[in-house]
Amino acid sequence: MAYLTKRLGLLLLTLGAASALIFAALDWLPGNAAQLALGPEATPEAVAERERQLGLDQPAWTRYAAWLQGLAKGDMGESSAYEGAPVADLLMERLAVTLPLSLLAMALTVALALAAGWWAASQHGRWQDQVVMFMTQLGLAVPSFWLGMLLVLLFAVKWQWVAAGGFPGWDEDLGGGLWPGLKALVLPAISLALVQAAILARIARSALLDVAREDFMRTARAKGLSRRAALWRHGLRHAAIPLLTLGGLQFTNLLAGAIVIENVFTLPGLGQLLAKAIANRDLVVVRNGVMLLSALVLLINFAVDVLHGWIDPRLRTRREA
Amino acid sequence: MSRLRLAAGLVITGLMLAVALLSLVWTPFPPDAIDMTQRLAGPGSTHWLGCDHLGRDTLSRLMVGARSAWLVGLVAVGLGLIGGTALGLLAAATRGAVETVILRASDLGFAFPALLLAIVLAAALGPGMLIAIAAIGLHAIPSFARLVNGSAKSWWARDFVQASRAAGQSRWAITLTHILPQLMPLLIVQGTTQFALAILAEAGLSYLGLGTQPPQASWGRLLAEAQTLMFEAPQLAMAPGIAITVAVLGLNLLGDGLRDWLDPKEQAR
Repeated sequence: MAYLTKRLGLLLLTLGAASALIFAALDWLPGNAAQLALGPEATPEAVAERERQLGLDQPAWTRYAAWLQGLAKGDMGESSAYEGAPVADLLMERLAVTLPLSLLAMALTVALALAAGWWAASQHGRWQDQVVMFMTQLGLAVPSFWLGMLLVLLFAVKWQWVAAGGFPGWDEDLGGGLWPGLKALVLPAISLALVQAAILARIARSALLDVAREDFMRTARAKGLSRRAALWRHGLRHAAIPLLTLGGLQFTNLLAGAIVIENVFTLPGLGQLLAKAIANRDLVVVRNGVMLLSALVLLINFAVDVLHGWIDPRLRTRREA
Repeated sequence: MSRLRLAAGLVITGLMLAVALLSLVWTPFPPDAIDMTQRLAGPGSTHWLGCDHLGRDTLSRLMVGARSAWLVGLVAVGLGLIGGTALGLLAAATRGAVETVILRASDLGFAFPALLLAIVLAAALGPGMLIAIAAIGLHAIPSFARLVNGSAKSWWARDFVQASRAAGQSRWAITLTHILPQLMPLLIVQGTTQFALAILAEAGLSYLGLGTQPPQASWGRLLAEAQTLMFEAPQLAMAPGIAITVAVLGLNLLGDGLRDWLDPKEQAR
């Protein structure tokens, strides 16, 4: 319990630090938001008027405090480009695409990586192992957005099995629904997963090879289990800790990858929103969007740490000591 | 096997560098020369890899793209290497609170994708190649810092280092004369691996329009342009993607090969 409170305190601290950094970077770096929004030809009077509208005449400290207060209430302010739409609604709407995409990709990544890593480890030193290792080497080098483009070329342009992109939405009344929505996310998720699985598969393989040298694995083999079965039934569980650590990091990578790949498949997610916000100089959207993504990253790290302590109680005591 | 990897990595990386350098003095056609008669021309004897929607020669633009990739990669990794090594050495030499703060901050920085940094910087300063360099370089600092710190600490525990300390050498002098030279192999290997990651990141950022800006060619931008012509000219999407993949593969092979060569004990299984 003390462990959990300590971790929670650290989470709040880092969330605070992240918010301050994001605010400061967007506030203090050169470039006046009002001037940027109005363009270089705007008169000084118009700029001053806009500054007053945006509250920019207030000191930075007051505006930062106001932003945090708003965040706590779920009020993120209004977008300057989307006709004053509430930013919180915009972000949630987009997160409903980006988050399921990342989760689907993560599930595919883990399944693929464990299968490949386990198989390579069980065939250690044979040609099958070499083939898996070569494939992962290739996976490390391919940009996932290009893989996405290749999949579009193959499945949408050449064979015309699926649409080249777009997203029907989750709402059945608006022509979407759970199944059509998932279908639109499959190809992007595969392009993300094939690349991320390459990294995880290599780690899984070497973690399993480490475990394979343990005494209990020899015992498992001695009682008649094949190498493959022993690795599957006893090895994977012991390889879980390094895999979990990396898996947490990979989820944040997938989140970033999702933002890029949304542009390949024209999915209306956070990536498209942020790209447009940068082009439109919509700093309110950028600030809150980046804060949302940072909060997700920190929450994932928090969850991984807590899971660690739960899987291996030794880690809990060691950290407290 | 590991000799083969090293050789393959050296050849691929050397070729890529040669192409990038060659592009400074010669490309088959001027990379920005527009020739609408050659619009979307397929590969042929004059334009080996064909032309884009403005009739610009794809091979020439790819060569210039190699230059962008090297430029961003070298500067960004240099930034990460210098900053991260300095922090890692400082943490190992001082220990205590300074080390805790540096390592904690590194853990945190490591968790954030470079993309988030690039988004913030691009929103504040406007997109551009410098944004890509800064985001990739800053993001590389934590991984260098953690690695250097871990290795430097193990060197600090050695007898010869402790002996110099007992002889009255200052911590900073020891760091420079005894610790840093021992880390060189590690830094070379890590630098190569980070270079590969930097090329992937640069491609992603310029694909999103946050990095290298037109008319300057970069592999990510070439792919972004190819995407709008996917149904008309799918061949445009091939060459830049293959270039990125081969370049990254080469650097990864080089990194693995160097690691085995410089430190046979740490052989990749």
